[in-house]
Amino acid sequence: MFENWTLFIGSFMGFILLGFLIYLIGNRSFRPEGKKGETYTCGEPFQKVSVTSDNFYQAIIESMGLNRLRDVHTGNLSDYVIWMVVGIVMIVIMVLVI
Amino acid sequence: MITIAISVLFLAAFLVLVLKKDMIAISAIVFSFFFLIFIYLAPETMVFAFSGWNPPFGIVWVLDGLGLFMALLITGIMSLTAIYSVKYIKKRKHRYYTLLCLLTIGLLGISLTGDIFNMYVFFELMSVSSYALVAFLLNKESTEAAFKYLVVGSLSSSFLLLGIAMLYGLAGTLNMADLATKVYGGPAFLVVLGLILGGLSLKSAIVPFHFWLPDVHPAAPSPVSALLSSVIVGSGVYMMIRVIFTVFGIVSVFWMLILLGLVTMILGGLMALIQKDAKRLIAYSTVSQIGYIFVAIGIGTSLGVTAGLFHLLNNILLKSLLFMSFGIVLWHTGTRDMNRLGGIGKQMPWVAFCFGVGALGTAGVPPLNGFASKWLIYMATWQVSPVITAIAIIVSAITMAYYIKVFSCIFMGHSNIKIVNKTPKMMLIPVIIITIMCIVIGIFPQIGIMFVEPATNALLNQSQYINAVLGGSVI
Repeated sequence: MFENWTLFIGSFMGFILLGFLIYLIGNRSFRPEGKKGETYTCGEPFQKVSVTSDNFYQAIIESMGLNRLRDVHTGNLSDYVIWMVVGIVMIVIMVLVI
Repeated sequence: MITIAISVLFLAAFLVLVLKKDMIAISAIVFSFFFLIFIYLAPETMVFAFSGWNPPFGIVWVLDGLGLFMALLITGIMSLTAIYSVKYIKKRKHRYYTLLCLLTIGLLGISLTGDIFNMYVFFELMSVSSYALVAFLLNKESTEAAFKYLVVGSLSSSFLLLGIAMLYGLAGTLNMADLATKVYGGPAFLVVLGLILGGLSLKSAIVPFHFWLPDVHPAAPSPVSALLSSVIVGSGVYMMIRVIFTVFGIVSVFWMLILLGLVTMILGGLMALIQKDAKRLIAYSTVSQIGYIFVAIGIGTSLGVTAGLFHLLNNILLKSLLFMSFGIVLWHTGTRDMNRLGGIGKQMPWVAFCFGVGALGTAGVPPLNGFASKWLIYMATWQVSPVITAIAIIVSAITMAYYIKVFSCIFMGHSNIKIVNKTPKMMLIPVIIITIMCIVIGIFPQIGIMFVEPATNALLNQSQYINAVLGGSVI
């Protein structure tokens, strides 16, 4: 099994290297000469922006109601102790029943 | 023999406080690592008795495949963390190193003792030193986190102690090999097993015992976070599987492990997806990966246990790598908020590369070590239920999603922060060593399997353990 695995990983890395090589060759042959200008002069100017963590997967998080999971993790010690006792009782019951 | 390593660490813990020389502690921890490599080369399980009292009456050290696997991982990661901390920790360094030595003793003792009460004593030593390490920065956040950890940790210890006391009452012995011959599946023993597993679940960070981990991580210094998410959580997993497989040998609880593992895997992944704090995100990722380990071990087959232990090894490496590399970012920028970070990759390419390896490895992308163990987990779960495999693959995709988020927010995009200082080599070297290990194990998984196999054999062969301890070959 692991012989095939090595073959798989070897081929995977080989393809990555091949892709990188093609990229390098392609990049070299198409290197522009002279002054570098904008590809398109019309349209809105491009602005450098950073994506903040709030922007990531916001639609998925809201549609799945994942923010509700936040409400369970209150940071209150008493809540944590309750969760712990519930968990231990649950495990004891599961061990007895299963 | 193992007493030498423990004694050296105890002596170092004391001397570093008196002489205020951190090198003493670092040397002692590195010494214990090389000492254990020397022992690891021995072909058979070794049993050492304390002060001439043979088992089951005296306390014994049992150096079997599983114990040594854990001990090597612990001392290895501890050594790298000790080196990393030289530049990271700025104040009260000698106290920090004393606590680090005590933590190493606690973790080593847990891994190598053959006595369940002795294991509890080392568990307490490990817990108390980790509470102090979490509170080390002595600010409001760290004190609150340490206090919460202390309260829930004490509660879990109480359940563990209650379970051990009941076990002693029922079986009349504390030696784990002797207990294995006396324990059976009666209701009283099952209640004991439930109490012990409940008590240990907190350290393993299984849902619903996971809440302390994301609260404690942001408050602790980064090297301590690396230890919490790797070897401390790993020791909780070790204790649980040691009790289930070696002491109780009850197959019926495996389904419970799969069930808890699945819930842990999913919830940890989803919680990581909604985080803004990078350290909290990695902490939830730890919770999710622990779920994978329990699902794999819960399969109970040789392949499942190998996959679980291999993933435990990889998780220990990857989480140390992630926390240490993010620790460098935190050391430079002073913020964990992903909304405030950005574009650091160009200024710290090596750190970005190492963090990227950790992130991709945890997501299970080839050719990194996480892929190798996750692949084995998929194979093992497929034999039981393709639904479990499907869930594991979906959670891997979620893992990839939140690591894209964290990598993008910290290292890519427009730069808001200017890095002025140079990263100290003492911090960079341990991170690069772990990165290399992750890549090498990923390309040659046989190395990882070779390291894990003796641990799997030790775990699945209860009678071999009993014979080694009670069979009269005590040194």
